[in-house]
Amino acid sequence: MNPQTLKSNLELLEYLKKMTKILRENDYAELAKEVERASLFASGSSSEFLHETQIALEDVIAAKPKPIDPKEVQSVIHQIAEAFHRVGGA
Amino acid sequence: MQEIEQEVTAQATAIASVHKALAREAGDFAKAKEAEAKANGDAEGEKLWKEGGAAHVLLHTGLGLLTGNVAGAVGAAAASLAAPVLSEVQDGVTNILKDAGASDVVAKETGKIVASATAAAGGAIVSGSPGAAAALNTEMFNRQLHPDETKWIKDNAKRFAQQLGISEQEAEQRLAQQAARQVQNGMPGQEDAQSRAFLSQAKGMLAADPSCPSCGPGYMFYATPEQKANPNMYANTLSQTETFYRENNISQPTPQQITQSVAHDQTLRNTVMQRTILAAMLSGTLVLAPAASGIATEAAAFAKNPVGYCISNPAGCTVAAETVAYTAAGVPQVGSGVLTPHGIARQANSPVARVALDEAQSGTTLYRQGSFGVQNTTDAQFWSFQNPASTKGFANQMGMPGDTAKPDWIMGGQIFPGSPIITRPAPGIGANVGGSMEAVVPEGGVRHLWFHMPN
Repeated sequence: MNPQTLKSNLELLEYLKKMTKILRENDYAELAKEVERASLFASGSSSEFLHETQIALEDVIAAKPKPIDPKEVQSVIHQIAEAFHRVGGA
Repeated sequence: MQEIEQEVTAQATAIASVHKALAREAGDFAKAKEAEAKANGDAEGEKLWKEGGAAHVLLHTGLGLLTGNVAGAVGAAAASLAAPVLSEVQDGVTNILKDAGASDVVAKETGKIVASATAAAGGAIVSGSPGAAAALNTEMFNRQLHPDETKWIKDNAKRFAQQLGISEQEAEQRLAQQAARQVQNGMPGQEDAQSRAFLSQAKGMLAADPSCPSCGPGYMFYATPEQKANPNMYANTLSQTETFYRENNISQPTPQQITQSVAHDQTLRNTVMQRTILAAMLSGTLVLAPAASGIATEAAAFAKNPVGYCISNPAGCTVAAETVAYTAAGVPQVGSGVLTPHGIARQANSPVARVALDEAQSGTTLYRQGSFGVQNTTDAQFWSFQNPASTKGFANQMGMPGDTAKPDWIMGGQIFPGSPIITRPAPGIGANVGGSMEAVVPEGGVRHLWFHMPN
């Protein structure tokens, strides 16, 4: 799981799915559920998808689950913020 | 004051609960009078009391008044009734209300109202009764269905029935009850998404109500919050729609249902308003446009210093805020923002975004799609200009990766006139495909909502 630079919302979706799996396998069921929930927004609106992902990833950072590198998650959050910045705001 | 309100509510509830009984009693009463006239060889009396006869109509007109259809019932017919008949009507209504638990005063005064109104409808001169009028809290009654709306339902019920494979009668009843829910506060029953979607096909405005100049124009199967709480709008058409109401089992909501509904509506509007103001304050763009020179002094003062104004003038704050937020002349448009869960969404400056903004403000339909239990619906903030049902590759165009996922629902609507809105490309990570225009509005900023569930 190395997002470094995500190329698209599709890659972000794949990233969330992988994170969900890892969290679930490591007994972070609630956190996994939250990340999975964010991924479900992918079929509605890209803004909502990115917003919900931001919220879920911020919660992941706050929970500090062992198998997840917080810097990596922070990098993804930053990329989402950049995506919004390009269209003029949140 | 609270005790009076409780008393009024209790009495009104009792009245509402016996409405059906009253209608039945009225029918029986009319039949008895018709039989009596027939037995006495009174051809004129028989004609008056038969179904559709003047006296029969007037009796139901009086009941219409009792259930709040005040303005519209008067003038429904033109015939005089003899005093003994009115007296019988009055006594009958009084006794029924007493049996139902209403106090002696309210029962008696309401009986007078019904008799008076019945007489008034026929041109007789009978004095009114302010005491009972006060007891019948007029705020419990709302914008009524317009005859054009009931006609549209009757004309289209067959088509709806064919679509759903149900009887025409059931189709008409479902459409009628949903329509009433959409224009009246507190109508009982669950939201019927299929009926709402079907009713959304009806476009256009309704003739303004000449007896209610402040009501503004009406819209097919839609009422503004103010209209939904207005006791007078289209009440003058009730004589034309009363049968439709009865045939489709539409009952007036109870005071409790209305109170809850109004409170819910108000909460929603307050949320929209607060978020709008907050967004403008945070972005520093809450300024009046040049065209706003005619705006109220209070609104201008509010716009200049919202926090200070609200602290020093809490009562005027709401009014001024609404004026600033929703009066077209006073709403900051390009350059302002709409508050989202993660900050302020701002208007894009590209020509395409400007055109999209114009379209949205002109009332073009905005769309969304989603899954049950996931995406927001009525309070959603992010909308598309493309119809997911008819746009190939909709998800990709909107920058979403979930093109293979079939949505549970598609919905649409138009923004409230004057509501804040921004337009911009749908955001994406990196070189994400898509980028079609999306509209961002405050929660609850879209009206005339309809829903569709793809097969």
